[in-house]
Amino acid sequence: MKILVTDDSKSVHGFIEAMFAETEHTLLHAYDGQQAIDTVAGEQNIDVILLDWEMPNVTGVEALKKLRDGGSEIPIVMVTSKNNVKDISEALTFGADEYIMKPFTKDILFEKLEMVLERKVA
Amino acid sequence: MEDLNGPILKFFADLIFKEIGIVYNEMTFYQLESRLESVVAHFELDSMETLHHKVAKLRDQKITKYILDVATNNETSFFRDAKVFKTLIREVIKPLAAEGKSVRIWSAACSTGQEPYSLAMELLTLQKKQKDFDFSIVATDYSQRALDKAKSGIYTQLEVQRGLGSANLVKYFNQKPKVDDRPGTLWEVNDELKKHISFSHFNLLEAWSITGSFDIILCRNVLIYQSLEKRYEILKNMHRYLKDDSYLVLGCAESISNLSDCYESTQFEEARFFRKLATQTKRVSNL
Repeated sequence: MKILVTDDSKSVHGFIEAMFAETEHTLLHAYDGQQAIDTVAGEQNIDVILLDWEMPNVTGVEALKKLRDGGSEIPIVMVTSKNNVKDISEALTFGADEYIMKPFTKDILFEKLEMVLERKVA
Repeated sequence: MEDLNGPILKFFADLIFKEIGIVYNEMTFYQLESRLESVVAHFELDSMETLHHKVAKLRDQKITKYILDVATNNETSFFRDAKVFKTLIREVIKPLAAEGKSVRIWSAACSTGQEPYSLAMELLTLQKKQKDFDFSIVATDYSQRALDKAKSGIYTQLEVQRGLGSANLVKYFNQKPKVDDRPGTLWEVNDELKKHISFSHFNLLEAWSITGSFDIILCRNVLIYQSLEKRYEILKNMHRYLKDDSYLVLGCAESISNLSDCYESTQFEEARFFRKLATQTKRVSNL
């Protein structure tokens, strides 16, 4: 599985990398919304995108809208500190498939990934 | 540590087995020890020996009840083993709903409530598509602590992310204002979900006072902690409370032991349930 991790915090990238350390999945890295959009444009077969909300240049939710407006159907999981029910509803309305509130555990991340990938197959 | 506490652990293991049938043996004494240590801390006692003295000599009922409570394994999450829920809806509940039947379900070891609430979410979704469909869920557990939490329907931010899809979170939970330093906020199950579930305290090894019969009984990850005799007793009692041809749902690693004349193992595409057979003959001697 090829996963695009998008977050402006290097420590979050490191944390997620550690979670995938003993797996055969490939992680790609982007540090703002624009980099995520560019990576999707240039890279084939991304299975899922993890997207932080608050990032410089292009925010996560702006990137989410642009990707969906551009026709991308890649499953997107928001991974963010914004934990208000209104934020979650907004992200789902704009086309996010799942939403993870920080802090989160490996179990939560893996379960959410399983959920979105199963829905894609179904 | 284990050598020093060996006889004490044996005493508590015997007590727990006698009262609620859960087996702790030398392989799992480390779990028991850690749970008893939490009891020592809770009652601000100075040692395991004092705990033993309070229970064995002074017969402290409050402490004993608390020990029996923590001895149960309350680990759970929303939609634990998601395939079980999908299969229940597709293979059992939808056919009953199509016949215009209402469905009565017993979640017999509901722990902190995630199982009955997960079921209620699925059943409400079905009800929205089929307006005349009705259902009720009876949820019971031995642990009063777990049951209190289940009744409150209040979960932490981490708990509502275990197994629960975000769309269901938004739909069936109300966010509560932040009150302490814990990360995130608390979330409470809404009334639409709560009103379909009645919670009550129940010990599977005592006299059964439940009324009526059920279309489905879920008793997941309980029998693995019980001795063969207790397992048999529980399964036999459940058989009496199931409607003919209805289903018993056990944990993935659990089975019906020697009760093949009471239940028939039914393998669906993604999960295995146990269908009640109408006639029950005596098999006690086979154990």
